Amino acid sequence: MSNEDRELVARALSYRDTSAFGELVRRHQSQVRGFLIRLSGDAALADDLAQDSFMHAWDRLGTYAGRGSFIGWLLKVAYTTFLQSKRRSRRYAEILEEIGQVADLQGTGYTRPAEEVSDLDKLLAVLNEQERAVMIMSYACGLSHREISDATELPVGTIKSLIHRGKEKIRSDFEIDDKHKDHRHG
Amino acid sequence: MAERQKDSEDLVLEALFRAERIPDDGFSKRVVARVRRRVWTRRVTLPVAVVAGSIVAAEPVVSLLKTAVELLGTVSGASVTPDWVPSSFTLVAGAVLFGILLTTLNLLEE
Repeated sequence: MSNEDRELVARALSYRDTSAFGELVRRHQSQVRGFLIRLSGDAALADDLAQDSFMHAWDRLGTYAGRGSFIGWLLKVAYTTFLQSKRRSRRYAEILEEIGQVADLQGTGYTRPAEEVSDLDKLLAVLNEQERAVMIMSYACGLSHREISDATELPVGTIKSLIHRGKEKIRSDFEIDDKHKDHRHG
Repeated sequence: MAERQKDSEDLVLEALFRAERIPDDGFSKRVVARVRRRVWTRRVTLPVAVVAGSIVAAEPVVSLLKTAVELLGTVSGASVTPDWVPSSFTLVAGAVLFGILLTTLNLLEE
């Protein structure tokens, strides 16, 4: 965690300083929103979830022990919020099914509008939800295996095998070579 | 990510996953506004609950106190009059004052 993050967290916690928390939101909103967009495949839903995640973060700021990076802890909150929302949608769909209506399972799979599908979206679509979360945390957010383990509450060994499996799936479905790297850098 | 050795495939994946920074576009302001609303709501909830609870409970509490005092007088044989028991109005007024005090303290703390 950077010193600035540490100071802002201390201010937000000690004085319930909403401005300090606002600064933390400004610093990390891009990564949290990006993570949720990649995870859900729905920008509007991801924005709602990101807002809820930051609200939960405010409520639980006291549980942040200062171990590991603040963004790692924030992504843990965001991932939990995503899973809770998914559970609610699933329950909603079950209730609708019980009363004989067709469910609109918004945000339960990776469904991006056809015109917005990028190389990365195609790649993420072959992964299951857990692999997707772990791969995004690792490659997009730069978290260590230990931090991903803390965020997902899975053992480090499981994280390593999820990443390995994710890479295998990507390798079998796509030709990953330096062309992609050049394309993104270009 | 110092704990693992990155191979060329990791570097390619990192490049693929790397995203443009998402502009704030008022997002953080919306979050802070929600947080402030929540803080304000929590600060006001307790005083309002104290006042509302007192209004509802004042009459029964006063009756209960008067009965208890009379019962005590009967049991002990002493002549105890329930004159010192506060009226419902006094209880509610006290609760309102307490509520105002709590709100003021919360605002001062903010």
